[in-house]
Amino acid sequence: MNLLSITLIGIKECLRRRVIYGIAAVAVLCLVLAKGCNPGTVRGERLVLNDEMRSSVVSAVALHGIGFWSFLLCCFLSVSVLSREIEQGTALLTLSRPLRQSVFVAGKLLSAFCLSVLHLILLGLLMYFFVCTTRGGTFVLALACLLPSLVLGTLMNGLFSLVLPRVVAPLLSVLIYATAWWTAVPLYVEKLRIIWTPSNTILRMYQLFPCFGDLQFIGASLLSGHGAGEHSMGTVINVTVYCVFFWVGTVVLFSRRHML
Amino acid sequence: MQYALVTRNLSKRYGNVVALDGVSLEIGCGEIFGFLGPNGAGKSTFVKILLHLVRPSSGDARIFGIPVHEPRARKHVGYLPERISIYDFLTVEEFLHFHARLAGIEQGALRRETDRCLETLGIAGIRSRKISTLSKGMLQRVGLAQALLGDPELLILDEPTSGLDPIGFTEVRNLLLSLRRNGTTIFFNSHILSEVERTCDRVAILNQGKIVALGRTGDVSNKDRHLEIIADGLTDEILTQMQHLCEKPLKCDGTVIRAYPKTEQDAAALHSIIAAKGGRVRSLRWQTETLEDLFYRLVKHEPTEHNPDRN
Repeated sequence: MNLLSITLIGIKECLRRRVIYGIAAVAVLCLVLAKGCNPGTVRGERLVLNDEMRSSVVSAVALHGIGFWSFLLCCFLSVSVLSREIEQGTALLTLSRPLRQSVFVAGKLLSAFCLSVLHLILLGLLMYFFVCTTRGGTFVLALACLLPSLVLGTLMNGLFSLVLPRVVAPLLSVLIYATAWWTAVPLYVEKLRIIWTPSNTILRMYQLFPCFGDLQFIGASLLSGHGAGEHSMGTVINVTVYCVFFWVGTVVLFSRRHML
Repeated sequence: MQYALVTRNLSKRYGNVVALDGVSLEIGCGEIFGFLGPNGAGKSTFVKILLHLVRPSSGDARIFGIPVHEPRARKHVGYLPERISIYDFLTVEEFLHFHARLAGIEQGALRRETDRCLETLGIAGIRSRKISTLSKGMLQRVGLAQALLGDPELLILDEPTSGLDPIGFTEVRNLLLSLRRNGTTIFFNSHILSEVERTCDRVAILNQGKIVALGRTGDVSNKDRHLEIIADGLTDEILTQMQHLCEKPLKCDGTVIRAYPKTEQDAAALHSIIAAKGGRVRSLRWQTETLEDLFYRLVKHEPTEHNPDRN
């Protein structure tokens, strides 16, 4: 009950932020543009794809796109939910109620997560009807693969917002997300390995970073009719460990910063 | 006696700064307890510890016998902070509903309970107004209404009359007295000493993190009942003779003497001594120290900004 009340207030607060409407609008625009995207060239040779392959590439690009935009939105939302409470002192009155601090932190972060999921669902619906040719359970499963990255993003950004300035925290989150994504590319895009073999440094970075890229590539893999892939178990473990780490860190840091 | 609030040797340090130094208090159920102190004395830190918003460095604090770190200790507590900061995008009613839910009030009783609190504070007419549009006095009333949600057994109020006009001031005082009649324990910080003197059953004065006075409101201030004599021609001989009739040392400042005669008869005899030895008494009257006098006497010689950032 307490968690729900705090989440609802948090959602109301987040909806007042104009930046989320801006991000949503740009995301929709990108999604519409994805419909007409061209596969491009390889070594100067224009790629010739049949309709099915082209649709598959467009779907994968669109899925990565909505994953990125939803992650960006979740960064912008989660960066202020806790830090603003401390700065403005509104947490003081709420926490004077019979409420655990962890419930308060969970409620606030959940509000950012819920709105990011709503954004993801809206973009997913657009993709389903206008971009993607894959239908049914596979599509939903592919979309569901993006949810853990939103959980991870919300928790990570919530933690960063407690130790870093509010402008820096989302930038760092996006940097980590982007690094995790591109280091995962050679492991999932088989054809890329012909022209680029990742170095040991890249592989180490891939192993150490949260598996944002893997989650999206697994989703894309499912969307194109392939399985989840050999890395899925490692991804689950990586995401779980990071989620626990970020959650504990956020609760402890919030408690430290709030309770001097 | 059942205690609403008990603290034992409560201390809080911020690095080298001592905000609270071994504060022990026992506040009985149904009392109005005034907590006084200059800025930086540690009052707000003490309140925040009671609400588990700040962790004590040492010592123990319990509300109705429950350690304050347990959320259930705050189940029957209403709190009004000194500087009220509320989600200003909500309406008054939404804000009260939010807090009523957190206070554990059933969904079905939310409306009834918020109506009761709004009417008690005389602000039922502003229920639909956005909090961002309220004046400071109205905001204070909304904060008080929030503290009354769920009919708490203990009210912790930090400057409850801050920002109120004289009418609001009187209304709040009457409200506190009526709550006390219903058995509510009230703990409040205030800088308005006359208000504390009129409202509180007991008071404590905190200075530099330590309690420097504690007791029933009348007793604490009346301890220094003395005879103030203004006289000319005072000599050492007169003062020595007067001292024999006093239980405490005389305080003489030029023509003004502060004397503590043992009995009423001794007081009359002091007058006779001065007259007999060639002095002239211009005035002689009993003085009782007010809470304000006591407060200034206890805190005026000491630096009060030892912890300015914490309160």
